Amino acid sequence: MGAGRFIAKTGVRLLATYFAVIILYFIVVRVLPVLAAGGDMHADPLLAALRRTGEDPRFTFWIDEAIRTYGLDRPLIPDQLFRYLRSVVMFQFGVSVYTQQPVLNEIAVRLPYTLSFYTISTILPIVIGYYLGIISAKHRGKTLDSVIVQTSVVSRILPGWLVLLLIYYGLAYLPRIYWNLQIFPLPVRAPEIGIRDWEQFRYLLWYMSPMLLAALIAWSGGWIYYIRQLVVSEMGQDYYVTAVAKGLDEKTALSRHVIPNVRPPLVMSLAYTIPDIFGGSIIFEIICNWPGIASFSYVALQTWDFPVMSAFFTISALLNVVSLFVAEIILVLVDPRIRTGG
Amino acid sequence: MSKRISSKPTQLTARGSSYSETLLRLVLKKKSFLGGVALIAILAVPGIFASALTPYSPLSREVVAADFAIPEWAAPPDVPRNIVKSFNVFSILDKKVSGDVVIAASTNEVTKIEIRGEGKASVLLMSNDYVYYPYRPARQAQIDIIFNATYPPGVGEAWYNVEVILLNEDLLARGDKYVVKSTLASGREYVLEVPKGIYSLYDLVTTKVAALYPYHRGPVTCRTLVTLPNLVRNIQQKYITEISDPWVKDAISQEFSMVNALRDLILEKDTKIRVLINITYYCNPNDFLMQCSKGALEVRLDQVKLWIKGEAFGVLGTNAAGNDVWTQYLYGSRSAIAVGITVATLANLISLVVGLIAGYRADTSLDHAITFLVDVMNFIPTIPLIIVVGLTFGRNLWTIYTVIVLLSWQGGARIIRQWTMTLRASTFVEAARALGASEWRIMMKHLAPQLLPFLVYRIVTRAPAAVYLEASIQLLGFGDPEAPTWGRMINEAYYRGALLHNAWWWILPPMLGLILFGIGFVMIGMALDEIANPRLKR
Repeated sequence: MGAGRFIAKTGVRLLATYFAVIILYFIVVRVLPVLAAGGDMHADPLLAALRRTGEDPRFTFWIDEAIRTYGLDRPLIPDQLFRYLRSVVMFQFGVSVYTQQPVLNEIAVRLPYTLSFYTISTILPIVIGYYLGIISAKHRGKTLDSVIVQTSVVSRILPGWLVLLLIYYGLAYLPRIYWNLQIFPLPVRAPEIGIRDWEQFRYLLWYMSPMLLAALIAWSGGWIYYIRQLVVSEMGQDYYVTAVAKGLDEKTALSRHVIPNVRPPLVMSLAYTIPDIFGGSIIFEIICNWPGIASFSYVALQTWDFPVMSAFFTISALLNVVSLFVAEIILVLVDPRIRTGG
Repeated sequence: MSKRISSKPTQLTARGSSYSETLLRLVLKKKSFLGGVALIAILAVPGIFASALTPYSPLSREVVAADFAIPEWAAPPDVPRNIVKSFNVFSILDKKVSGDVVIAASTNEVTKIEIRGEGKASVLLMSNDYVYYPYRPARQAQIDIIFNATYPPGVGEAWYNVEVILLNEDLLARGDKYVVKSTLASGREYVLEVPKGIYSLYDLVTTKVAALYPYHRGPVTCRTLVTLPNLVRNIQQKYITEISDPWVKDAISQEFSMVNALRDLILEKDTKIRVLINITYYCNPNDFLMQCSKGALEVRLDQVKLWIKGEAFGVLGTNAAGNDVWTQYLYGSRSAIAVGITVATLANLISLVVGLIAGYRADTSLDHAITFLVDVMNFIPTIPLIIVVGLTFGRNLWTIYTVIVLLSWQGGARIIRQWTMTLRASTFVEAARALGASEWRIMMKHLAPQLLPFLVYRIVTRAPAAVYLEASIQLLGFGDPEAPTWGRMINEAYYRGALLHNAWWWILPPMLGLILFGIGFVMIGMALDEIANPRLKR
């Protein structure tokens, strides 16, 4: 199988998965509540939320019109499902029930905040894990190795939010209570949306620092441990033993023979942990009032603001699909078996 | 495992019954296994005996002490402890009578005051018992007042008032004053000197919505709970209501309503605290408005119970609502262990079945469908989905756990599928197939036991994840509000100011519990890992 065909096949598979996720989401959010109420359309939480907004006389007319334009009084399947799928494909999510603003505008101003935190907190732990894991594997059986392994095992199981709370308690609240020192910011005054000057940008970075630190502590360990185990198990393989026996020094054997073999599983497991990291950063955003799309959609969840919810789900599913697709392409580039069609 | 399979040449070398014994012996030799078991036992054993270790229920939200009370063992000796005192026996301290009023009092067991006749009277009763207060002034108290005022049959309904007063005689005798200063808008400063040591807790007339007269008429069965500090009672004190200038009164009441009367006016180290009851009586047949003739009144004092809420309490203090943290911690550990293991076991059983079917039927349309399903499940953001389902079906613990089970089998299924695919080609499977064993039998009797070590390893390593997921849902505020879990404790602690109040006894136990819980399971997992996964052996 050639590289191009492999990529095309993966793309089709991921696209199908994406649509399945989107439809499943529609079923959970729109169909299940109605089914749970015994098929009563009036139990639809979205209609209830709209009617709540419509009680305000300023919005009554607008809400009635919105219900008609978006076809919310039509049957859920197939009319509303098709309308929903079209909106997902065209990226037209309409207007938020809660803020009365176009959803895409709301998302667009918040997406940079989510993406900045998400990308940094994904990439940095991998870089740290890559180097520390290889160092640990090089010194396997020694004290350094066992220290790194034990720390990383503890870090691997800790959920990020637990570390975040500990950091907030130990490094933000305690110094402030005992010495009136402000090392890390309290999760109280979140940065504003839209950065206008240098001061705001500095505050943003400062505000993000405990989140990043927690992400580093909580998410590096898994990578360190995983990469160390990969490298160590590759070092037990015959080809490595042969290479060393031939007189190749360990460093060259590692960089020429072991590490290229470690990369493909690494890229694959990265792709599969990306949804987990995304889920973890959602909790981070909500705990810290970080002005990203997750804390925005958290409010949407509470008010059953379907346009925002669907936009959030679509974007997060899309991010996952795209990152998995990129991972598969990288896999083609790094895995010689796929590249050469062997 | 049947005999004919025992000859199979597989890597895990199963030899009948001795196989599991060998495994067990191997595992028991591992230090990390024993350490992990010990760690989990330390967390689990108190949880198992929770009902014996704490008298409170985790769901009743019983207030046991002041809010943010620190643990008793960590508190210096002058931090207030709980003091509960029931004042039952009262004696007459002072009585004033005008007209032909007769006062009869019986003060043994239950205090009963009977007033009869036409005229005016006032009786001041003081409790015989007192509370000796040995700590620094406490912040909060609660007074339970039960009394009964009735009219004997065949008499007119007299007008009366009952007032309950908290008295610190030592402070009152010292004559100290608490100074309340307020600057009016005009710039004039007004100073009110409040006497220390006396504070009116309850006044029958002021509890009425519209009190036209300074007396009340009609029978009363009073069962009231006065909490201190009490903003409303503060500005109903006589020295505030008697200020004639409305502007001054307004300014002073604003200032005085912020005063913690218990801490600043009543309590002081090494003093005695008593309760006063003031009963006033009025019956004047010539009064046009407050009519009464041949009046009588009987007041029975059932209970005056003072509870000075301790600021040091129990093993782990109290939370922001005054609930016992130790109780919540104990029940939280119980639910964490039970739920972690149950949820992980169920999820991994699903992944075993699904993975076996997909792996055994690899590259069929069934396998493709399962792989596709696993991919779809992988893409679903777990936390938002649990929140949505919780909102639809109620934020119930069982709903949340069901969703967690349904959303966490896919990772295991993928790995088990891979293992099954390699095992499928083994000779023992071929032999079984040749002997005519059904697919289901091969999967369950021959393949599943091979995967058992891996399954156990996976259950052990996934158990903390299930608990962490539930805790994170709780932290976001979408968990079961009635579930006694560590996650709910962390949620309450984080959002109700445990960090700001430095309430380490509240926020740290559940967090450390979760961390140690995870470490314990991972230590067991590491011991199992080398057995379940021999490739990783060093």
